[in-house]
Amino acid sequence: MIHLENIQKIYRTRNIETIALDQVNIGVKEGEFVSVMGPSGCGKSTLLNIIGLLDKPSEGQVSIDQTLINGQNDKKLAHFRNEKLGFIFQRFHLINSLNIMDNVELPLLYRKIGASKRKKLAQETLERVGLSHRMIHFPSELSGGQCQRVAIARAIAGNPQILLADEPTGNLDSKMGGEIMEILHQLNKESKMTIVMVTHDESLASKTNRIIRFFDGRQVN
Amino acid sequence: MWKTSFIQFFKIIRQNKFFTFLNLFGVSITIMIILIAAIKIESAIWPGGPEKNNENMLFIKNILITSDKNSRFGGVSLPIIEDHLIKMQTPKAIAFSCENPWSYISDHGVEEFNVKSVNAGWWQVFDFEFIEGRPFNQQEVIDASWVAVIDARIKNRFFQDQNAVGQMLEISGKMYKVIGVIKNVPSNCERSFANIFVPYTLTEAYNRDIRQTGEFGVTFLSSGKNLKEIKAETENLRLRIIPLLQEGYTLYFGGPYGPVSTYLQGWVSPTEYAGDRHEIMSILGKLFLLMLLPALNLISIQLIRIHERSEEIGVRKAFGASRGELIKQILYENTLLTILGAIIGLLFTLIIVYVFKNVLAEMLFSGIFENNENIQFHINFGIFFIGLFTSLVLSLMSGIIPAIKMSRLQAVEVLKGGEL
Repeated sequence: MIHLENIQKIYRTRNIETIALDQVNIGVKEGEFVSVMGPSGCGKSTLLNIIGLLDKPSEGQVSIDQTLINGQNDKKLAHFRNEKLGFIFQRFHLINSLNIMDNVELPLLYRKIGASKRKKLAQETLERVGLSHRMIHFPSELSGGQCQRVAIARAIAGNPQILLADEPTGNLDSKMGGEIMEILHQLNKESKMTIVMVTHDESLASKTNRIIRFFDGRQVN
Repeated sequence: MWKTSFIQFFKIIRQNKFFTFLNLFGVSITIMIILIAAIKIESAIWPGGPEKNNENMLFIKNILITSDKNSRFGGVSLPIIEDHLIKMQTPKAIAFSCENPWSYISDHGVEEFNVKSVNAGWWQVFDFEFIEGRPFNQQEVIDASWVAVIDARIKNRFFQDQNAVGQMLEISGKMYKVIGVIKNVPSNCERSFANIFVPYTLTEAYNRDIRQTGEFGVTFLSSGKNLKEIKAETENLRLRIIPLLQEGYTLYFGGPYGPVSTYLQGWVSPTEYAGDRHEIMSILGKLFLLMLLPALNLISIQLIRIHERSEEIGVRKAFGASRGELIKQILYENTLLTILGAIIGLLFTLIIVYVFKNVLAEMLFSGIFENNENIQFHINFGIFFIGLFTSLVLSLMSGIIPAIKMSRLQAVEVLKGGEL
């Protein structure tokens, strides 16, 4: 499903050249739940951004769902992100000016779907994460755990094949974190979603299919 | 997509109340300033009242008599009027007037009134509405009869409910017989406004030296088709008067101009008689400066507002918004916000014009001679749309650079949730 070949990412400023990723080769199969671990600054975020098509590698090839991504223009990348990828962030990143329903609808806005169908899909997704009763509330009225469940609903509303989760439990207590992980495992098993999760938590990582470890921009396992 | 963006726009502005307020305030104030400035200019150029046909009028407000040694600028002098201008063939009628304030001291304190000394042609040129009596005629002017035409304000002040015609009125120690009463002239009718009109021949203290400036303003009434002929005849007359001045003096007329050019005269140095182009450029320059401040304000507000939404833009990008879609969304929202601001500005202006008309009249045409009840203000929707268009251009200009900048923003930078 995800195929990274000889990926190198170099950040250049006037005087300094920083190698964020060096010779990374990763394959993630369809339906796999993979954790990415490593110390701060080791390149995990850069990797997730490259898989999420939010950043381009300096060298190497990225293929997702058998499509070579390199060289695609912004419009095609945006379309690809919308169709294939869902994001979950550590800080939720819900849009505070929109209510829960509108937040979940967001990925569907960039598809040719009528308003009523959009609402129906968003409502069904919120039901899946157990928040259909909070549709007209705003993010500021929800707890951290509820916000992350809304963020998951938003990520899966468009039924993407791949979920990219950036420390999804990082801002939550262990009980809420457990609930979120339960939802992710459920999505992986029942909906066969491929999940790539960045985490610092060894116990959470151990419950996934595979752990990819990074150190200083290199894959170490 | 547009409908959804429209609904989302209202949700976003409701949540970002402070910036929405600043933005709407900036646009609505700009539109209000433009509309009220337009009202002020239009009410001064086309004031209605006795000057409602002023498109057929030409005015000479002042003259310049100049030589190598000195230069005199002022009103038109009586020798130029009586010996030359009044004999012109092309105008249908000629009016001239000289203003004198009259301070009336009574038990109530000092009351200020305006007296105009005019010729008989005055009543042909301007369209006054008589409530009682009649205007004075040519014979009464020649005879220097002690007669006066007063307005309703003077009638109510001195004669209350009685008939004013036939009564005597003492003005500055002289007794005048009231022969007519006119409806109050709105105070924005700069040329025709007065509380009392008397024959100009009653005063003998006018300057009689042709090399000096005088005290009068002159108005020509045309048939509507011969404005050019009047201008040409005035120019010929000017060339004929110059040799009479002798000692190297030359003469320029501040006119005859139509209502627009007469108004523009006040915007530039009154001693300059440059062409219309210079005058218009000067006005545009001043208007540009007037618009610059709210425009800069708007641009800075837009920059802050868009910067504040960087997180939202990052999220939209992650979930499938292309750069083009983000730019479109930001510009669409800016446009809606500007239109909303313009509508609010228009509503406020309508309220001011129709509910607080007297306050506005006082602000725009303040003076000691207040006859504001008959002023008619009209909102110029052409100007409104020009203002709206200008605001839209400014809004788009102020929005497009931040929009492009934000659309290029690396979503990862704004969405980075702690270190990975």
